[in-house]
Amino acid sequence: MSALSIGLSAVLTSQRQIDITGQNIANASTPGYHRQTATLAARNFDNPLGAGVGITDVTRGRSELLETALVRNNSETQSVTTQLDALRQVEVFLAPGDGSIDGLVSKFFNGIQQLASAPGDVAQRRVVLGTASALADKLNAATDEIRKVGEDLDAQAGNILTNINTYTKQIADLNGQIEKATVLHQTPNDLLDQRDQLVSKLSELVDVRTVNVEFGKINVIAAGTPLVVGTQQLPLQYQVSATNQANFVRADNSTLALNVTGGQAAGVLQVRNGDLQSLRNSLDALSKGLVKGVDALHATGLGLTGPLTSAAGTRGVSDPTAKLATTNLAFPPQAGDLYVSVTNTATGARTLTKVGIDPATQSLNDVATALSAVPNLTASVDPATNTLKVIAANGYAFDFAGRLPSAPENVAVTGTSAPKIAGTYTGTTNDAYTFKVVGGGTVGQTPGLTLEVRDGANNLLGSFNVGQGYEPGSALPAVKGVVARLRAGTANAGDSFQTRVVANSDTAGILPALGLNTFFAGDSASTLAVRPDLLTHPELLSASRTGDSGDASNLLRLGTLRDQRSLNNGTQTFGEFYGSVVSNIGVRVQTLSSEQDAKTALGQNLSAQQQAVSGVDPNEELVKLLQYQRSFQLASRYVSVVNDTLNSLLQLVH
Amino acid sequence: MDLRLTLQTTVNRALSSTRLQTDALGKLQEQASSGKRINLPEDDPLGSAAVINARAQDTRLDSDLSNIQTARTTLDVGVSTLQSANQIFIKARELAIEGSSSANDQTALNALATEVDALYKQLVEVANTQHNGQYLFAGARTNTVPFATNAAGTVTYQGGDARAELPVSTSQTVSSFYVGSEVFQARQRGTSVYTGSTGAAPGSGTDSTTGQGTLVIAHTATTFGVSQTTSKNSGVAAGTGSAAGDTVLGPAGANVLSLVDTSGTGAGGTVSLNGGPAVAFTSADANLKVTGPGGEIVYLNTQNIAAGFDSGVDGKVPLTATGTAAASGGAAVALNFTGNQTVTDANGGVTNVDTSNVRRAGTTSVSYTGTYDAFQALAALRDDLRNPRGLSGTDQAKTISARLGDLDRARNNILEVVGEQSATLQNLDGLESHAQDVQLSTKKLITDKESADVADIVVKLQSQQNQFRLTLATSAKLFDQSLLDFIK
Repeated sequence: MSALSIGLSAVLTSQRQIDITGQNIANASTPGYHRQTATLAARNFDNPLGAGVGITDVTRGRSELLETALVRNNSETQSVTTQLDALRQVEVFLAPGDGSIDGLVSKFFNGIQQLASAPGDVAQRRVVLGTASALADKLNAATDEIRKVGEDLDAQAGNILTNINTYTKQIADLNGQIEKATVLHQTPNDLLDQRDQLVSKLSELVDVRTVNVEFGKINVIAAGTPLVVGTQQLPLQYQVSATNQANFVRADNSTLALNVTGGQAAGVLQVRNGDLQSLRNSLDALSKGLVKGVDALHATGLGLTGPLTSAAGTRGVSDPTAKLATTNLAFPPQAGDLYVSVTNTATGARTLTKVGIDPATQSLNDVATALSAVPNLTASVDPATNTLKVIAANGYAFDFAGRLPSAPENVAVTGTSAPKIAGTYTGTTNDAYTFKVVGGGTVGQTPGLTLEVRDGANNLLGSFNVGQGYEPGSALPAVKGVVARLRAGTANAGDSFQTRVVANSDTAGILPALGLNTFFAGDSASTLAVRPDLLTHPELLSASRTGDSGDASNLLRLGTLRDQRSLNNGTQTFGEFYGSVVSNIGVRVQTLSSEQDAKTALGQNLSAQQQAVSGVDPNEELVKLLQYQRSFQLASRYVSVVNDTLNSLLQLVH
Repeated sequence: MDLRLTLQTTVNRALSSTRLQTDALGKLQEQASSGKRINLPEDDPLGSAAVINARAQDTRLDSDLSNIQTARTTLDVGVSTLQSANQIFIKARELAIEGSSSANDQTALNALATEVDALYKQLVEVANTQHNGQYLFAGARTNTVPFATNAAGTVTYQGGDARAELPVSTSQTVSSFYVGSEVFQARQRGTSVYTGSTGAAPGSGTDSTTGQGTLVIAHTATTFGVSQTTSKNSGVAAGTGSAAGDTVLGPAGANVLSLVDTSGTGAGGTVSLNGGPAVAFTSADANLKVTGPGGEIVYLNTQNIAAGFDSGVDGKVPLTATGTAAASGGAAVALNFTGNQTVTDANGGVTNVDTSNVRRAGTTSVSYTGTYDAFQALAALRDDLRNPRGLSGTDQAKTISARLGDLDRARNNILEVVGEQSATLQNLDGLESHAQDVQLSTKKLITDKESADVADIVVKLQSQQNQFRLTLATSAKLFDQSLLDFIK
């Protein structure tokens, strides 16, 4: 008699289905829950008529394809989000505005330009120095901010690492439990849901791929390396290299950096190793460009107090005996010359000495020796800092402005007329001018007596009458700013004298390299500062090339830096460069932001599709509930009918 | 595909769309409250870069405009200072004209001289004018007093030789502090003018002394040659007072004596110099003064006159009178009676003298034409009014009138600088209005790029708000619907 058992199976099945529906309704809002459905089958225990109904399996509504797509999308979205979060912090800091780096750079150059209208004004000098300090501080703060964001990212990477290792451990454990249940032919749907949920969470951290293996287990592969193999977990590590590159590596093989392409981990690495590094490089490039340009000009100018009696370098070398080319100087010098002027402070007599510099053959000690060879000058290396110190002998002062020597050089004059040289050279190349008398006679008397001026290449630059009609001792017309005078007396044919004219007194770039008489100290965005003694002695600011209080010639040179395309291989000005830095980060954030929008939309779409397969629709469940209620009622009635039938039979027996 | 719509999908959709709407609303609110379209570079990366450049341009124009202002103030002060210098010279000119017309009244002239002296001191003040603590006419050496009066009372320039240049645009600078020596000490040297009767004249060379100087021509020794026709020795010799008292100068034969021994024994006769009045001599005269027609004097010793010497027969006796020339305290140079002889004064200034016609010792005053600076012109006028040389009334009037040229030249030179400064000022006006125009368009560019369009935002805000309401209402409606409402 199988009728009762058939009825019972139907009642039990309906009850079970009602249970499952209840479970579905209860978990309608549970994240990661997959709608469960019972698979019914007619039972047939060797009975050709059948033996009722039974539940063969409870399956989860799940689409492998959609789940994989969701996991991938999850990774990508999280990567983008992490990058956005970090970059937005930096973006705020770099955003253009009144106190921003670009604002301060243009304020600095404005200050210089305004100082040019009153170069002797100490208050205005303080304004320039204050603005430069603010700029240096801002650059320091910006690099500090970048460093902090980097540290935050490191901390975030630590959390990510902990979570990855925790999740993979849990997945490995779940694999074990699932294996046990599967071996017993059970369907551990809740465990599977849990594991799916963990994979989903893992995918937020790192790019994840799963591979189904035997007994319901999965292997988890992330960043190209297995993290879970069956029931075994392979933990990861986070490390920062000596070159400040951060990477995830396997705990058991720390030499191979993993190629993380998704999840928060990828976002962290991308920003930390890529964006922050390139920003830091950009700020350093900006600082270096500014320092190099300003320092080279400042070092070859003169302050209000004129030549210096001593100067201490602010940039040291690693080893004073090593060739300069092999040391770690931020602004490496090149082979060239340094022109040193030494002035006798009592008489005002000034000499000009050329010192050859070759970083390939000279060490810092050699440079000190070469400078000490200049009369009345002593240079030494400070052993504590390996910086150069230059001191003038008592009663003398020195500078690097390359002014004309006070007396003509190589004077080969047989007549009685004494030559004089004065003026400020306005040419653009270093040269030596030769003045030569043509035709002999008496200055101011002999008709046709001429003084010729030729440059080093023997080109005639000027030919002036110094005979009849020339007032002896009066200034001849200037040749590129150089003025000659011939005193009264005789001048013989061939009498000659020379003067060296210097446009660039430091072709070697040794002054900015060693930080001698520079404007800035430090050589990168993080170490940039205004030379401390300038702040306390603003009169030392090199505004001129002559030392005159109203001479702004050096400020005019400094002002041209503003428009000089000195950055990015000589293609951008400071403003343009900073503009491109800001616009780059803007583009980055904007791109990431729209990428985030797209990925989120895609995620929603995928999630809607996934929900369509796996989600619980309460209305649907309600309808099903009604259906199962009816099944139950029918089965109950059937049992009751069968019972009644049997009752009738039993009454027959009585 | 027939999508099943589940509770979670509905919730997610409602959530994400509300989030999107609030986000958009937030952005609009930020734009509305800050008034800026670009708050962060991401809002418009290219626009941000453009704003950075435009803002740099804007602040640069600020400093250009501020420098233009500084330049203008400096030049304005310069122009008004030079105009007061101009007034000084106008006044000095009036005084000079007055002085030349009342040349005979020394008391009146002294009063005028005092006035001129006040003008002179005023001019030194004016030339040393400061603006903001900077000397206007010291060139680039703005901290140095440009014109200092030395112990001798002359004014020397000690400022810089280059003008101070001030940047007023990217490529342009204007001179703001002028070189004082160009303004007050410019010169156009002409031929020097010699006064006095020594016969010295300007040489062919170019002098370097400025202003006014003296040339002292002194006598050294006189010797006598043999007669010009018969080569007979007349026996005349230099008198005992010859070295100190002779004023005659000239190479051999330039001066001649006519000597006639009327006694026939050399005991007495007449002698005359260069055809001047004849003087009687006797063999007792050891120091006989003979004066020539030009006032030149020679002292003779006639104790050994050759008997019977007669210039009418033997020819005249040629004299060789050597001498020296010295300029303003400089070393004396032996006269060589050539077209150009160089004499150096105490300061090293040279004077080229044509000595070929020097016939008399004496002091010549040399006026180095065109070299009087503004100060020297006033000082010379003052001195001429005081008349320390004791010139006669007419001569004094003449010298005073001659000063007018120097005064006018100094004044014209100052006016030339005023003209140059005024032209610069005019140029500055142009630069300023150009800079202002550029700044205006730069500011407009910044506003266009950076500022939010309020009307646009309000409209967008309204539409966003409506959208938001719609989303909320839809979500509410959706959650309202359930099968439960219909089954009992």
